[in-house]
Amino acid sequence: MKRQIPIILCSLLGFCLVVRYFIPHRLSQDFESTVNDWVRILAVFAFVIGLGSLIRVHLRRIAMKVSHWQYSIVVFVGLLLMPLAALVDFVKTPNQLASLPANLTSKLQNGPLSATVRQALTEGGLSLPPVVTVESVGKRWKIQEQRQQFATDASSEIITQLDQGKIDTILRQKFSVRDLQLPESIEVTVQSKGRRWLLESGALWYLLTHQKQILTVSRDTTAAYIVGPNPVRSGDLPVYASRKFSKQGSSVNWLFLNVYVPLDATMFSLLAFFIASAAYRAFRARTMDATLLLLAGVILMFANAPLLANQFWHSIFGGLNFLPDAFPTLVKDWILQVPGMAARRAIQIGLALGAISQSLRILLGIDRAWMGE
Amino acid sequence: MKYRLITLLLGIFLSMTSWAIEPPTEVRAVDVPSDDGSEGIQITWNPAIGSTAYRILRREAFSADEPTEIGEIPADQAEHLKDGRLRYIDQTTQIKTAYVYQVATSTDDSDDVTATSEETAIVKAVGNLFHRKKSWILVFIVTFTALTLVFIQLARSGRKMFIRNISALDAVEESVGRATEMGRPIFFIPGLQGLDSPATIAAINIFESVASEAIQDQTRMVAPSFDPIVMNVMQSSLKEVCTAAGRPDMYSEDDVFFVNDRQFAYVAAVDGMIARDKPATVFLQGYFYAESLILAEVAHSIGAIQIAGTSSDTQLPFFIAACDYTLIGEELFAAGAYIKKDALQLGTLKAQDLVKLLLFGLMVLGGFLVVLDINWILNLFSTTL
Repeated sequence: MKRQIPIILCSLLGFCLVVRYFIPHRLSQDFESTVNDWVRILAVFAFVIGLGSLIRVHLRRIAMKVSHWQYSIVVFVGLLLMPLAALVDFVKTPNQLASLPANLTSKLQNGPLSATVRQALTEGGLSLPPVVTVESVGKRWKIQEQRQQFATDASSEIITQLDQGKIDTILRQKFSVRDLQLPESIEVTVQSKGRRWLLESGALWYLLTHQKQILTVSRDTTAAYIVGPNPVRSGDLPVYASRKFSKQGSSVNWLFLNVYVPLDATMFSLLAFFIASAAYRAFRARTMDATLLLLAGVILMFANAPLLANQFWHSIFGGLNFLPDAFPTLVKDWILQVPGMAARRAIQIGLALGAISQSLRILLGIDRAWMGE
Repeated sequence: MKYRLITLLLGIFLSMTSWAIEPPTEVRAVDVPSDDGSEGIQITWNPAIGSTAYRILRREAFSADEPTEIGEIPADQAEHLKDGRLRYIDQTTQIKTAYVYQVATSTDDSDDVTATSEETAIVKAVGNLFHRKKSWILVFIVTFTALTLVFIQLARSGRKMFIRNISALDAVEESVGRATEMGRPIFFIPGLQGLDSPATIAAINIFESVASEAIQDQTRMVAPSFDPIVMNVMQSSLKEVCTAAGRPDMYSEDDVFFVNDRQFAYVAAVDGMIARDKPATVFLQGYFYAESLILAEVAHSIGAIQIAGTSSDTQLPFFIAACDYTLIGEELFAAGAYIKKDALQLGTLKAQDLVKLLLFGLMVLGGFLVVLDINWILNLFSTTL
């Protein structure tokens, strides 16, 4: 029974999620949303288990002084540094950005921000997003922009219009249905043709992403402010940025931007050197296949270097008028889009079928590797 | 006089009919299919002669209110359907609220001169229970599942299932033996995705097989993990393998451990371990991103044999160039069945091969039909959902 229950649960939930894919009804979407929420909750507990494993392993290495135990100390330094920085940020008093006159305190209520308070804060130098809500948090008030997101079907007309920098009438309707503002003056910036656009009008913006015929419109929370309390009983209430949106320069941000990001970039940059060393080993004309690989690699590298593909090519072969312009680029594109793409698609089809087969084995209870059996 | 009067009246009548605008005909309003109700209601109608614009009017079905205009489209911008009808989608509807619609036409001469159609039948925007455009996907899944069950049954009945040699998996025994002779550990890197990825499950299958050989040869296996849940599953697998081999003392929790869940931090840690511990064999199985070549090259630099397999088609070329053996494409998913020689798993592989053959046949047929300008199969594969 101990082994049967997980298998039954896995199969049942798996088949439910497969069936859910075919049901567009809201209840079906809510079901998937609930399952995703549960997965996120479990992931948090899983992370605690992982952290426990990390601490236990490295503590043991330090205690037993195994070879290279000093690196375990580095692990603990890194593990503790970021939480310490967050603690410092938490204790530090944030900078005051503005103040709310004492006579307007009564205007603060849960719900939309009143026009009077908005005007007072704006006059005090605070820049507020168009749609914010007020929430009482103990003795303080939180003024926060709400995250906005919705997904909808993306017709080809909408996508074409967006690529041309215009907004389709149907797209405007999709916004107005959800009470989201989309002014006439809003501008479209194409970030990635067919996939990603930015709609901007002053401080208002929306990010649109298109994937698998679904258009997702999102606007992340960009500002949150805390109002009060005042250490003096009567007086103006201080307004400062919430810790999440504090100015850069705080300890955590500093560590992230000046330690983590450069280290990450350093590791990524190693890839360039490893590609060169792997190419040196792989591109040796020992067999027919290796020779073809070498030729294709040389052509692609030649065509991707503007100096070689343009100036060098024209200086050597400029006299051959029967060759089309940008001949190396044409050959490169042909290699990538015809034989290369054919091979890639064949592998992708095989992978997709393999993944389906693997998933079926799990759903039917044949493959129990996920249980640790 | 009489004839003059008749002529005058006839002339007036003819001129009036030339000013008359036809209202749109066959106006129908239906719920947008295959949605959750939020896509609204689609109104279709036959174009009206002389109309330069169409106004869509709506009212709630069981109220006495006058219809209100919810949209206006110039005639040249209206969406045309394949049968020549025009379409407008009203996305401002409330779900499960009953509406009736009318379509009015207007001309350039005067917006006041309009002709309004009859009211449509009552319609509501509701969530649908089936997405019609995904029907073929359902057919495909049902076919695949049915074939899988058939071949599982054939496998259970004792029928032998042939599977070709996969050199990367045949090399597992040799590579484990090499690690034993050199007295160095085996590193197993299960990829950078969680247990929700089929590639990770396939990697764990391979891990079990490699671990069982390694434990029998008393060779240590080290598996740094990117995901805590994968770490737990692999710990459990290793423990079972050690117990089954009669060597529970070989199991150590410290050999399968969590490193971190950041891509390049994980790679930096694993590369450091490889450089210091100098394993004889490195298995790179699972889903990898840009770090694949870094791992493979560092393993090569210390002289280890690398056996790789990934479901990421962008990283496969790097593994093929840098590693000694590579599981290409679906060989990764076939590894579990290949190593264990389990009849049921081999049956699923045969079903997969048959489906691949069917798809291949469809593609060849589709390509041939496209040459004859018949695009049915092409449209099937490029259906927008």
